[in-house]
Amino acid sequence: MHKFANPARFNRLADQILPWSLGVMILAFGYGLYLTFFASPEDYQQGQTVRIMYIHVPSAMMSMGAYVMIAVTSFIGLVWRHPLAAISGKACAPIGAGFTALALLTGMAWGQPMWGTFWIWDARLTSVLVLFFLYLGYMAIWQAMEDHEKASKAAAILALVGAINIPIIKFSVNWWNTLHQPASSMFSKNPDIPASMQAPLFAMIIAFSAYFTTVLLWRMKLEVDRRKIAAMRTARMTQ
Amino acid sequence: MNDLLDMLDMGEYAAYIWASYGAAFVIFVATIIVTKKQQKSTRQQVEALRANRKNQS
Repeated sequence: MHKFANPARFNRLADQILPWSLGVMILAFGYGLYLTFFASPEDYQQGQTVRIMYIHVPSAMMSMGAYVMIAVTSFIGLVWRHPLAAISGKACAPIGAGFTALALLTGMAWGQPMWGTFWIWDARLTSVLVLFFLYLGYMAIWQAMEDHEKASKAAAILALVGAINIPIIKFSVNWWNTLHQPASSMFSKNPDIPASMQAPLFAMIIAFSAYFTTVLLWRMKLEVDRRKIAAMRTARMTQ
Repeated sequence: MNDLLDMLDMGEYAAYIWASYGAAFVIFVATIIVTKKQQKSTRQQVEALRANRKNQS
């Protein structure tokens, strides 16, 4: 893992992955949107609003996945002081915040016609809102502190403390009586979702994952360049 | 053409569905544009600092 602590090596690897992730992203979005609008049926209960699920579910999954990644890299950064750990956490946060905002917005857009309300303070919705604020707090720490070392430590501690929210989000629908329905089983032998609805959902999950990978690598390269600028400026001042 | 019109007609829920896809489009495209702009300006700063260092040496 320390092999990639070298920025030049990381940039070379990222440049190799990026065309593939970009290609997968474009193809999966194209195919996923085609399936969503042309090749999947209405739901017998939800009607056309089921199409909101094809972006709501992947964005909710990615919002939690991105936070888990920040928490893991924060732990690695604190324990092993791997330089790319802080960079990847910082790069990941705005993308994760975007996914969380999208999960909240699409959930509201689905909730109004189905539940009769845009918002209710139930455990799932509230814990996802807390996740959004955790992202904002994490990004605010990076913005507020000029010293990279201090910022990465403070942000990592917040990320690790906030990680307790992830199992709360996941199991809130089982632990408490919520308006939000329990998770549907998608990966079992007898899934709750028919194949005609599984296909667009899987295609969109792949598209969202490829989008995440692509933007994450771009943002990590950006952070590497920012560190380079800071190092060059420090070197110039000490001369 | 009819397929396309059917696609656009989401019945009484059209506003909710298109607002959701619109929000997804705006969030995704805005993140990409901001990232690319920041990348460009950072790259230019790196190049400028490198050129400066070269001139000094």
